[in-house]
Amino acid sequence: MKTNFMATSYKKLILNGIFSENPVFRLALSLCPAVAVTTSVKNGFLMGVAVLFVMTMVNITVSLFRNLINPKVRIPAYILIIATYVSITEMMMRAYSRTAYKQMGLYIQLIVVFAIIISRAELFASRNKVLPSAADGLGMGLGFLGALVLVGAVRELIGNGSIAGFHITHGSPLLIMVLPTGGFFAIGLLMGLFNWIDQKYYGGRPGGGGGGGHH
Amino acid sequence: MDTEKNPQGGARVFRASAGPHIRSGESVPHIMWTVSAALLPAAGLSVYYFGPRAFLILIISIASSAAFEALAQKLMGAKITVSDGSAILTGLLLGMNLPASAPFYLPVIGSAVAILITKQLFGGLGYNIFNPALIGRAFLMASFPRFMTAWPVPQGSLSLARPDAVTGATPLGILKEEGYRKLLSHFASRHDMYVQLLLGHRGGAMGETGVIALLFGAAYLLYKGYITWHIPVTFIATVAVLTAVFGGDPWLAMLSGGLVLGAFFMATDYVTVPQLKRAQIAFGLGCGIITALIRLEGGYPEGVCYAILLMNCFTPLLDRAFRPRKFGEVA
Amino acid sequence: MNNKDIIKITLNLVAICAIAGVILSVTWAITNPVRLRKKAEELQAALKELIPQAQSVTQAKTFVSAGGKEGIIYKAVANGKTVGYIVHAYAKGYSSFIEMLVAVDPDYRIIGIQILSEQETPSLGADVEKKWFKGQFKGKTEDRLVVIKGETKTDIQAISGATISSRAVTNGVKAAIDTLRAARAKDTNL
Repeated sequence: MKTNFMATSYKKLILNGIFSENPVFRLALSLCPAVAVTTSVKNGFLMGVAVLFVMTMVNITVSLFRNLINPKVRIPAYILIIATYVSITEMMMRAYSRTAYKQMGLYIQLIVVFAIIISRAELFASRNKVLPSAADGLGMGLGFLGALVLVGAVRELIGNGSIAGFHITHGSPLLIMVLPTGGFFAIGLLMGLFNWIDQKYYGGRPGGGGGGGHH
Repeated sequence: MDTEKNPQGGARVFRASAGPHIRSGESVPHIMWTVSAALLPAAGLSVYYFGPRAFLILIISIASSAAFEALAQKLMGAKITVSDGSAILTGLLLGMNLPASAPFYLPVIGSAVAILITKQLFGGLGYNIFNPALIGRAFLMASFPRFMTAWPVPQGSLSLARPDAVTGATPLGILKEEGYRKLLSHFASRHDMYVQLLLGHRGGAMGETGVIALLFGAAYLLYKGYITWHIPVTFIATVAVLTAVFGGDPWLAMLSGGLVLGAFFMATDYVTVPQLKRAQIAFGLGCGIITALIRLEGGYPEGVCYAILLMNCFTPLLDRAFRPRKFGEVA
Repeated sequence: MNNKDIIKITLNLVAICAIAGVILSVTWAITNPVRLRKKAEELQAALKELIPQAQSVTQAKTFVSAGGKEGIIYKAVANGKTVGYIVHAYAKGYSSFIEMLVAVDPDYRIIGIQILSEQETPSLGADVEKKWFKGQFKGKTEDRLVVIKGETKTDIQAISGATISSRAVTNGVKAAIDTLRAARAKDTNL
């Protein structure tokens, strides 16, 4: 299913990843990191940036080599490409951003197995030209980044009484929100809110104009 | 995929289990109000022990549960069914699970979680997977560990002030932290310890301490046939046996913590536990094993709440596993 | 699948692995020295902070700490004299291994402790990182390392609601001192 992107605007591709096919709130993919690292805005942001980088680069690389990779081994090939970019990210963080690495080193390595990355490589980048693939990776990455920051903000505000490190209340209002349980609460409630807004104002069905096939 | 609208406001049904069913003339409100009434002796005893503050916490808990139920049903455009007593019962149970020293906003937050999230978001009475009062308690435990681990010792005082000076540990807490010998030293004799535990003269959540009053209420429910022995007896016996096997004191295990309250009043909730007798025995067994494991090996001194919640997840599976086969059906 | 296919697939994967390998090696070569340098600097800074008068802090001995993790004894020297020891050790807490530095003078009086990492319950067990808790250890000797629930000036006051974590740190400090004592008994140069 090759699509001609000459007519379609790149803006639409990017917006698709941020809203109508948001990885966390819409596709419900890669929820593990969305629960695990989003105890604060800062952590969510750092994780989001790492994923944004890996995703865009993987989409570009897969698209570039899409005609050279044998379809029979495409999955191991994609995993290798993803693992390479993740390792580069991890090594860079370890050397140049040590405090961030200490907080989330383990989760950075886990990016290798994020379903959202390999699913975009398989569903989009392997079938499209470089620029649309880059736009898709950028859009999906931004959607993921935005979702993580949003979840992080909710959890940090309610669980720790601060926003992006600035304390608003004294002590923690509702400690559970920064515990793993709170991650599930926050994502579930935000997902519900997304669907509610969508149904109320757009009469849309969950999944929007989604391409299907990623469940 | 479009989701089907839950039949809010329609006929209130319990989760249908495999038949055959016994018909009875009892309605849901009647059962809910009777169970609440059966809890009253224990609630009264807690007010006697912990003072008027305990009464206030119970009232706040009940009132906020009822208010959240009405609010949720109004928002969803459903029929308001506060008078069926189920939210009142949830509020009462939640309140009884709190320490008398809890600040007054704790029961309100707990009720919100119990009614709005655990019950109404899942479709209202009959559709919730987990016991609402226990989710409320677990939520508060995770959110306010400082308040939820400071259990006041019964004072019998008439003051409304927070009894924060005396935050003695529960017997199970002392057992976990300092051992059996230290626990015994708080009492005149082993016999005295059992009597005090039975009478509820010890630190703990306000509704769990008055064991004798709880047993009184439970006996009434058993006599009326609103609960059956299967879950509570299996639950309590499993905890006692496992405690004895691993060298503990089985009587202490049965009389302490929230075991009696949990086994008779929360592990028997119609909605969240299996309906088939054999499945109920498996349910009680599971609850007992998890409780004993947490008490003996876990980081927390008490595990009744988490045991029941964990077993709630297995309810549909248990009901399916023990479903009677049709004649000639191959498994 | 015929032979030609197998060769093609093999070449395909070998090529990807080779390219990935080269890229990763280059990144490693660039970033690793930076990482090691920064790590050493961080440790030195933490060690110096504990014993500020030390001119040099050097690794003297390793041992097996809680959970089979590697513990390290450092010796702090100033003007040719040993001014203290820092033990890098672990203790089993409520939900994690608590990694810490314990600084003592040659008479085993505690100069100070530092928590390097822990994953205890936020705003409960994690309060072992709070200054008031760590500060209690300063100037104490081993026999005063007793956890008390409630106010105390002479012993270690437990964090309310987090007795397990408080006890873990206290026992960890005690174990660190014992290890140091045993090591010095064995090796008189230490």
